[in-house]
Amino acid sequence: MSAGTDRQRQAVRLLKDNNSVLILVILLFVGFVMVDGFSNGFANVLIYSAEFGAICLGLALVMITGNIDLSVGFQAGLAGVSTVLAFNVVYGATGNGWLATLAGVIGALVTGAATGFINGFVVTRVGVSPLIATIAVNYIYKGLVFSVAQNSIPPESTGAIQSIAKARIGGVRWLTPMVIVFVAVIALFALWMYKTRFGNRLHVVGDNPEAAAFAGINVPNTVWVTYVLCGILAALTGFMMVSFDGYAIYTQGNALGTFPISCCVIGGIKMTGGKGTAVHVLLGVLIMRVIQGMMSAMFWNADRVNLVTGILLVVVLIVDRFTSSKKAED
Amino acid sequence: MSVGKTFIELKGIVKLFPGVRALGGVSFDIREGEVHSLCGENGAGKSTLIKVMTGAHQRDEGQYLIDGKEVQFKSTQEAIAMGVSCVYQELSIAPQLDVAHNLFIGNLPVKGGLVDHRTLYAETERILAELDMPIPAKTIAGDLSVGQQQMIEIGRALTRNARLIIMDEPTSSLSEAETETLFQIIRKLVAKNIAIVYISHKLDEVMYLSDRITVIRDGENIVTTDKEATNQEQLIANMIGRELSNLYRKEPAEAGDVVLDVKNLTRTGVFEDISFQVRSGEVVGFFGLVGAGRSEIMRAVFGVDKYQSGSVTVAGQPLKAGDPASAISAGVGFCTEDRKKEGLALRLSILLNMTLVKLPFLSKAGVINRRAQKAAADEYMNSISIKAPSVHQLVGNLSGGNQQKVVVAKWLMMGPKVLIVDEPTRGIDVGSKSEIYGLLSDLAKQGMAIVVVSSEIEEILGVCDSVVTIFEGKKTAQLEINSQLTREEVLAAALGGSFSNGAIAGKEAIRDE
Amino acid sequence: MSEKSARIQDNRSPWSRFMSLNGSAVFLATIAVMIIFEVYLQIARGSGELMFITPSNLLGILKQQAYVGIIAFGMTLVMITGNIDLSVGSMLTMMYCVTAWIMMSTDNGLLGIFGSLAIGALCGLLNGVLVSYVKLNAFITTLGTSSIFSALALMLSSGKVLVIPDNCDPLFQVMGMASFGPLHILIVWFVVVALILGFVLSRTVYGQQLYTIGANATAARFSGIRSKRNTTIAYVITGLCVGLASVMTMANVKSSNPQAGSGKEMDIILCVVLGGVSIAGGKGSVWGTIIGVLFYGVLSAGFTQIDLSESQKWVIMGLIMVAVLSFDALKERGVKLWKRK
Repeated sequence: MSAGTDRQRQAVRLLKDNNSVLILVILLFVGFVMVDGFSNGFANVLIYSAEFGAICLGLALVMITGNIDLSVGFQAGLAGVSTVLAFNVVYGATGNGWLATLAGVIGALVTGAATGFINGFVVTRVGVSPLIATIAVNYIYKGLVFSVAQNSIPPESTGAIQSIAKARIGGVRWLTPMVIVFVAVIALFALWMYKTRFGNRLHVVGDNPEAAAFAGINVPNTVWVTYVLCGILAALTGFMMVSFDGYAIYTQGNALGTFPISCCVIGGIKMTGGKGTAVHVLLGVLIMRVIQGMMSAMFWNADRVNLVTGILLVVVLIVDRFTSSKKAED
Repeated sequence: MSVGKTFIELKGIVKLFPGVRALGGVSFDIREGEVHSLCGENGAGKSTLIKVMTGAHQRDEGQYLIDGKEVQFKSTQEAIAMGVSCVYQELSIAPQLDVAHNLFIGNLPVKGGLVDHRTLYAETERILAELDMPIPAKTIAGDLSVGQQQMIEIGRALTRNARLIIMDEPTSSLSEAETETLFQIIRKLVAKNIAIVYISHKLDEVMYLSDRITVIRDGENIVTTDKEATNQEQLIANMIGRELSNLYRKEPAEAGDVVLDVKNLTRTGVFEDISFQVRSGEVVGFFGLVGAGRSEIMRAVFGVDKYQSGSVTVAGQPLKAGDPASAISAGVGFCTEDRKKEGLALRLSILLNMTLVKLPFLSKAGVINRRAQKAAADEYMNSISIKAPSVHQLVGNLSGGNQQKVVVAKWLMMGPKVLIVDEPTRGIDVGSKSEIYGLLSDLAKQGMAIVVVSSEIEEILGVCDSVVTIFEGKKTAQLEINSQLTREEVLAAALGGSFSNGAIAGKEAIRDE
Repeated sequence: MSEKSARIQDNRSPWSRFMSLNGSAVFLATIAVMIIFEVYLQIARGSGELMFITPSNLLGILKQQAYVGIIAFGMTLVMITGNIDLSVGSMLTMMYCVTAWIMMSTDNGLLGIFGSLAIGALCGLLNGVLVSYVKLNAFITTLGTSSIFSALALMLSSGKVLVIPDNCDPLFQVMGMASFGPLHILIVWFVVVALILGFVLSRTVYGQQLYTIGANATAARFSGIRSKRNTTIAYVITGLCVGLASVMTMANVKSSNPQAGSGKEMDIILCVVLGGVSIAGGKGSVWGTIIGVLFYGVLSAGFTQIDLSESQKWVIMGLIMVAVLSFDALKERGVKLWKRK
């Protein structure tokens, strides 16, 4: 193995692991140059990315450890409901919109931590396969959300809570507290996974759980923590949805569906675990939102967005498949 | 050889499992800077002993002393903290992470609570240099060879200041060159006063490396001796408890027509221009260093791998390249090297595993004749004496030897014209070995054409009529096996004829020091 | 080792032998749940006669879940090979539109039936080829094709409800309207597909090879089993099942809602796993899946009959599912929930 081939191999790997950068650049180029109206709507791309980015990051953490959570959508929905309920209690008692907003945030995050804790428990302590476990608990979250928010439930005052998603700092359309929070969250988690011992465990656990266990890493607890973090991050999106829409409703959680998984996979997180960073999640979310932005700029229906997403997912897999070093078995 | 200070002492260790006394009072000591080999048949209690030492199991009775103080490890972590590390047979490499993160897995250097990447990579470079591995610290572990990955595991023990490294069958998947490097590293570690416990079925390695050798049998230690005071025959006798007079017993069979005819087989970059013939009743051995391409040739002949040019003909019928089903229907059976990975579905029954290949013939229009299926399986359960309560038992519950017999039965059931066996006795105890050799000999007598791939030269010399030697993907010779043929001649051919400057020569030189 | 396990096997009571079967816990749970519903109904509005455990009610539940069951049987095959098909929900939605569209535009029953089956099979073929020949991750691939199918459904129906005229080809109507005595044809389909696929899995070479592929794909390959082809066929069979489910449902209700099948894949996978199929593959049976479907159907119908709201129903069903799955998982890991005397 000479130094030259080493460097070549590293370059190829770098490109392969980060092909989402390439996709995003191409899409942005196409969007700005060839699609009329895309640049006008670009602020929305950023805003929507910030709104739905946290939940994708949460799911990504779970996926990096080689697990999955199919209940993130209704975890966010449930956190949204908690936001409104907590807000209204505090607002009713104090009449202070800011205090109530704070209560809303806390209500959401505590709910998310609780749902994540439950998911993690069922998966790591009881040992139900993550796919099935999260399908089953999803019924519970879905039922709870539906019972309270079949119709929209608004906070009693929307001024303070909506300013989180909508206030324009310095009048810039996309520079809202929500966007800043999202960027901060991505940066925080990117650093956490790179710079701390615990953050570094996620990849080891996802890559080879036996090796992790041999090395003294408590695999079940690590996975459990990622489920809790996933719940908290999903809850952040739940809060942002309330802040953005001005109410909580059942359809918010329902509409999320498989969007987070698509974002993660397109960004470069692998189903099998051990791959990807917070930055890849950012890329994945941006790619999905840029596509939707382009399509709405062209006045295409939502159904075509699904079509493009589906095809893109399959194409990403195919590209990944044919660029990975082939094993002899063929 | 200086005698180091006694580092670890085990006294009268007893380990009980429900209904089984796995260790019945083993005593054993390890000195600093020695290579202490542990020998015994499968099931003799070696693994249990290792697990007690590394904290994976807790002992039921006895004393475990480190530096004269009694210890009670509750986890492998506690053992590692006291300097007891183990390089496991199943590799514990995270293939998507780089070398540095693999070396310091779960143990990254930190400064102020944050991972200190500068120290991480500097330390990695240092350890790689110590292990004579000229690779960048950021190489992804999955890109390394198996041997290099094993070195990473040894390196991992070094990052934790190991005083004892236990190596469990470390050379089982290494090439000759890699084995040689491993031996050099072991010498280096020993020179640094690190103790090595070396476990291997390969007695020549044991004899070459060890300072002392302990043989255990049926959970008891039989003897601990200095290497100089024993020899291979003595070791075998101690391991099995009786003198094994005729381990290898090929009875001459009458060779008939050519059954397997391989012509000019080439898979670019793997092997080149391989031709050989096997007659009915003949046993042909394939010998070469690990990585020479022996198994790959067989995989191509059988059709699980593709090849670029050449042809494979069975009894006059050409096989379709890259299609195992074609080879099977022409009458080729293939007992692979790795039975758990390639041979058996452990979660399924003996019945299904055994009849898997024969199934299309035990059925009509795709519908299985269950009575015929059961009868066929029962017949082989008896004829090659597989020890299990019924054919409905899951294969995963059987012992290694019985699992191997299920694989063999799977292929025998289809009545093959050609049977390829790859490392038939790997990981199998001495007693089962001779059963398998007997079976091969019988099959040849019945007129089957047999190919035996092996990296044990005695095995080849014992069971084969002739041997094809492979070196770097090329056939270097085909030698008749008779009383004149020596081990050295076969080795020389397998080393491409350059005996004098081959690895073995180097090994002999070191041994002479 | 082997002698030890022999002894264990001989000593097992009939009860523990029964409990070790796939889906046995779910089977008992189904019966328990039926009794609980009956007791509840008797207490709430007791009439002295059986109210829940009546033939007509149970057949009604079976009729209601027939299409879920049929797709679940196909899914059982796919999951036994260690793969998964997340696209069946969207595929069903699309097939509703396709079936309705064929009948609306041609009113030819034969074309409606076989056209739907063929297109269902084609969708399955697409999944199968991508997963086994191109070797893509089954989960993500079928998630992708799921998006594609749901988009096609919307494009085909323009987001509207498609209605098949009531006086359409009688041949087509028979598929979902006929009755054989007390047995509605939907139940007959359910039974027929169960028998066919049950037979295929347990008694044919193909079926037994599927288990091997799921339990150890490499060993299957070394035994000359054509894994790619077999796996693809399992997907095609699933597609056919979806096609059949679409035909019989459309013949029964005659209108397609462009949202009808969305999310159904989750229910189906849940039924299959409750019935004892392992996510890892190599394990399970059609009989187990029947139990899983019955359990799901009984719960779903029972909660409606005791007048729980939709949301209460989901919460309680979720809790019960988690409990049953937990029980199975703990049993699998050998954790004893209680000590035997």
